[in-house]
Amino acid sequence: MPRYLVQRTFPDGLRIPVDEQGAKACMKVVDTNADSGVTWIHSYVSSDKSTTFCVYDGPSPEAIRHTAERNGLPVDRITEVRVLDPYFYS
Amino acid sequence: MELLERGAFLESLEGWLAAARSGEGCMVLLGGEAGIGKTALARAFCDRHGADARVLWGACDALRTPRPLGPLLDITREVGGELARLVSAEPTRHRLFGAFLDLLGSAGAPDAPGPRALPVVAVVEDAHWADEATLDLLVFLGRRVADSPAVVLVTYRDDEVGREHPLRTVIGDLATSWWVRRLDLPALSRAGVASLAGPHGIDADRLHRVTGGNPFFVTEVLGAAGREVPPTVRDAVLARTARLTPAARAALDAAALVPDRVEPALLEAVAGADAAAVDECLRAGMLRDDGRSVRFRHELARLAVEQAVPTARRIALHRRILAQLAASGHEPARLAYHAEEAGQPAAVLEHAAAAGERAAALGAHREAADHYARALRFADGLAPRPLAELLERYAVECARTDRNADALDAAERALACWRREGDRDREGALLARRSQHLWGIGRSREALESAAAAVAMLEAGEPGPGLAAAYTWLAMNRMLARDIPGAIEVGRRAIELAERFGEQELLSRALNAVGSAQWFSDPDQAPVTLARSLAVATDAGNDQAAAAAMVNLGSGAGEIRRYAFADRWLRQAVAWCAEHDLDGSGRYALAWLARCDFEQGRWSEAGTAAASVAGERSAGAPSRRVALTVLGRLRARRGDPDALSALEDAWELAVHTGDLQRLWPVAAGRAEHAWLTGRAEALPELVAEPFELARRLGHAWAIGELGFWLWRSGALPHSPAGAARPYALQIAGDWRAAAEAWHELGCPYERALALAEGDTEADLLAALDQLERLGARPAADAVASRLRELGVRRLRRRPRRATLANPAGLTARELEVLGLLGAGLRNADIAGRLHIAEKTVDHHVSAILAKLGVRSRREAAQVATARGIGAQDGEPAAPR
Repeated sequence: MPRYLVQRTFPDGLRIPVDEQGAKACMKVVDTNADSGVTWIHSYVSSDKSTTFCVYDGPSPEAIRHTAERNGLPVDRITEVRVLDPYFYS
Repeated sequence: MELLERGAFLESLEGWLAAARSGEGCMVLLGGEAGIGKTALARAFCDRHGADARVLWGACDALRTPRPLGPLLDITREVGGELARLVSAEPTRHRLFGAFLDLLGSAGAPDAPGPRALPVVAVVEDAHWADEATLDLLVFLGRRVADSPAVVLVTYRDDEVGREHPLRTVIGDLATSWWVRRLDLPALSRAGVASLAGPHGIDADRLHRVTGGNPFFVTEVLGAAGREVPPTVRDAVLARTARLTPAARAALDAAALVPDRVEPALLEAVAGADAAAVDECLRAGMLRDDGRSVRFRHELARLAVEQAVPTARRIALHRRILAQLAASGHEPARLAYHAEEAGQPAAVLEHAAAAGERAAALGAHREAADHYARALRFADGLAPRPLAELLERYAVECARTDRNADALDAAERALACWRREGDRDREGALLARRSQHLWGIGRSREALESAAAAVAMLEAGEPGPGLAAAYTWLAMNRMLARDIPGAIEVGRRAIELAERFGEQELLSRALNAVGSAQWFSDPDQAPVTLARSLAVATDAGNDQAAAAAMVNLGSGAGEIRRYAFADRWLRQAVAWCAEHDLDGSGRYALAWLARCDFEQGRWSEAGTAAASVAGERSAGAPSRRVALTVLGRLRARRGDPDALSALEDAWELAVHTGDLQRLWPVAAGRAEHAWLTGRAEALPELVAEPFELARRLGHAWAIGELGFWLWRSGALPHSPAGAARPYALQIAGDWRAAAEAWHELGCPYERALALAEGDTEADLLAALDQLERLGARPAADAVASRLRELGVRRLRRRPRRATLANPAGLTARELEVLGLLGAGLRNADIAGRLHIAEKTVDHHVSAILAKLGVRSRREAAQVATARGIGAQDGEPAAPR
């Protein structure tokens, strides 16, 4: 299954409360993703919370976009990626 | 007999029956190896509910080529009444299946008023032997049973259903529905075997090891009442037969040669077995009484006994059985079986051919092909004429089951026969039919040649149905090759002859060919002609032809960008195909719907639909071509990964057909992708050939789109003749008029690209705004960089409409619905306005309420007015 990097822009800044409500929101995203075979690995959030870079495994770009819509999340750009880490070649 | 270790399974069945009682039906797929006790479980369950449920029982038979719709006919015989009357009237398959479904939902005494009291348990045994028509019935039921107060219990040998087995596809298809349950029966445990073996004094460990816990094997061994454990099931069964008297053994042998069940009268006529002999078999437990017939306790037992009958005696018995059954007029499938076993070629030929016809009529095409193949194996010495007829019918069935190489082979052999007979009429008609086979596998050029040869041959003689067929297929092929004047000319002749000779199917196809062609010469006439094709097809009860008419009403309109009309008809086609289980045509219509959504900027819907068709492995090439093209172009426009691979897969599928309408969208997509990824120099090569083809055929939209890309790459100095208006305007430099034209058609992306040709800040900003709202990143980036070049101080990049005016993340479609809600429309009116089903509108409204976090339509409407949703740009100016 391909891995995708998904860039998202939040004009009002991304706000996920650090409490039970926030946890529930994240779990809801995970469940909705599961319907389309999409797995949210983790995300990187910019300091001003305006941009996120999210790592996903999924069957196709359309599945990523479909789940994004269902979850009410914007999609700026999708890139297919492979993991490279410093110790891979040693 | 009490069942061991099946308590949990019975409990599950009880639960599902209880649910069915309250109207929530289900289908249960009960799998397990032969002899594991599936029938025993089903019987035990049904016996418990003789009084409070209605039990219907049907079985697929073990004939090498089974009777078509065997289980359905079994049940009909039991039930009689309305269903039996319907069956004898030879209805369409759809009506027959529908009537059976009614039977599931209408248990209870026929004259009882009010709500039905009794749920139905319908058992279909041994589905691994099911014929094609029965498999279709299972799919039909499986998709619809959730709303019936019924449990449909299907048993099958899962170890015989490998990856290539037709039942596997059916199971895969059905298993995704939550109301289709699966049960797998395991072997008996050691303790279970021990509890059975205990009183018999046999070593339980050894018994368990040898039998593997298979209940049938175990009971056979115990029934032989020896101390030894025979090494195989066969040995165990034969051990039991050793104790029978010769008369009983003779009766048993004869019974073993008749698959499924056998009447005692037949045993008497064939083996001289009187009632006493049969009784002995019953008492020894070898045979079971089924009411009017007797049968082996298990198929494994029958096979064991059958294999032990010496060859000479077997052949003699089959001869006698055949004579008896033929005299009393039994089903041809059975007669063919016995004839082949008896080694009587003439009888096989006669009965297999009849069996083939019967199977074809009931829609069991795989079985029909098998029957005809069997007949052909025994057709040595048949005169050319009857041989050719047999080959022709075999070819038709092969084509129906996608065995196209075999179909063409048989057609060739038949053509040779007709030539030997000197029958030019039949030869010509077959050439026309052959063209249909060739077209079905995408060998379009050869299909055209074959049809043209047919016409040439038959025009020389008297006009007849053969010539009507030839004209029809030539018209169809020319239309597909976009030779529009040629298609209409021949099509008109086809219509006239088809009407003259009352050939309804040909008439519908010919009208389809002419109507589809008229989209390009006289677009206002096309809907009229195609509507007539649809009417003729529905009157004749021809579901496939009706679907074909609807699809071409939609796709034809789509190809010339009359989107409102196209959307309406494509949705109707999808619904019709779903209702009639016409999966192939349904997928094609869905793929085209995706294309129309894509061209109108509804990219999220287009992506989902195209991805679903492209991802389906069983989807045929025509559907996947369209879906992959849409997917590739969509990804290219969005800047998503995998655009090129989708486009190249689509190209692979399209290139060998040589058809313009298949090549042009892919070529345009590849060109667009090259442009968006900065490889403009590759453009001319991608587009030149299809462009020439388009020019030759005079196809305005293809000339326009392909010419546009040639112009962009600098390879075309001026506007090509005959290009569609928006493209012609843009190439001529009048980008503002082009943008207006695109706006009127309803193509927001093309409109934005036209505006982007402008040089004022306002035009470029308008283009950028539209592109960002669509999510067309590469094109938007290009416009943004032009703005920077112009020195425009870029405002903070406006995010997509999805996040700005739409913080709740509603889809484009949901926004549309919300807008109409805000305008005060009811769901039925919204459905009419957007050309979708009311049920779909209900779903959208639920989603909207959830996303907005409101509880009523009124609140949602208030939100709509407050946020100004409903006044949207980029919508088509005039409804069409």
